[in-house]
Amino acid sequence: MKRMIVLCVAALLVTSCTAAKIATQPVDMTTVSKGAYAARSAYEGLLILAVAYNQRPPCGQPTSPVVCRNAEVVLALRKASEVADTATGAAEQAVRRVGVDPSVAQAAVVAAQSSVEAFKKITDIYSPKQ
Amino acid sequence: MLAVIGLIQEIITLAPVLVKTGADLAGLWGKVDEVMSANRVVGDADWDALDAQIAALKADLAKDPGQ
Repeated sequence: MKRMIVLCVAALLVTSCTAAKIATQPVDMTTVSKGAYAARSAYEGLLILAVAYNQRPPCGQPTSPVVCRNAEVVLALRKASEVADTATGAAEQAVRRVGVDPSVAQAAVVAAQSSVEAFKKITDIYSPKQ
Repeated sequence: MLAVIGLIQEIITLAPVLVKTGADLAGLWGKVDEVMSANRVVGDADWDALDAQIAALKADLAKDPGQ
């Protein structure tokens, strides 16, 4: 359990550190592509937690355990996941496109990181580490 | 006594999910570490592998696992 928390924090630290690095250095495609990769990977990490939540037994039944899945929470997770998927996917496409302006790719990476942070706020509340 | 049995049932229900989650996260972290420490632009193979894993997880999140 502790390991899971450490892994999540580490994944988000990589994302944040990459963002800070991008903001203070001249734009370089290697750094920008790693920033996009870190954001998309952090999104995958959060998806793993969201899927684990979705695999809990359903709430609201006489036999439901205390640790269960709420249908409304699942909908919120799916919605946040879609937003993060779109933003991190756009960042990926930006850094993979040949001849793209690095500053345009960098802006896409920053947007991707914000979407991942929004998704994390929801998984922080409902992830299986509770 | 019933409360303890209920708690044990919960742990049994959740344990496989948590072990799998921990293993999945550890695997992901190993890959991220490898890509981040490489002195190169992220390659197509790295992106394609990541996208395939995300697609599979999205399909799992879209599923209603039932009871």
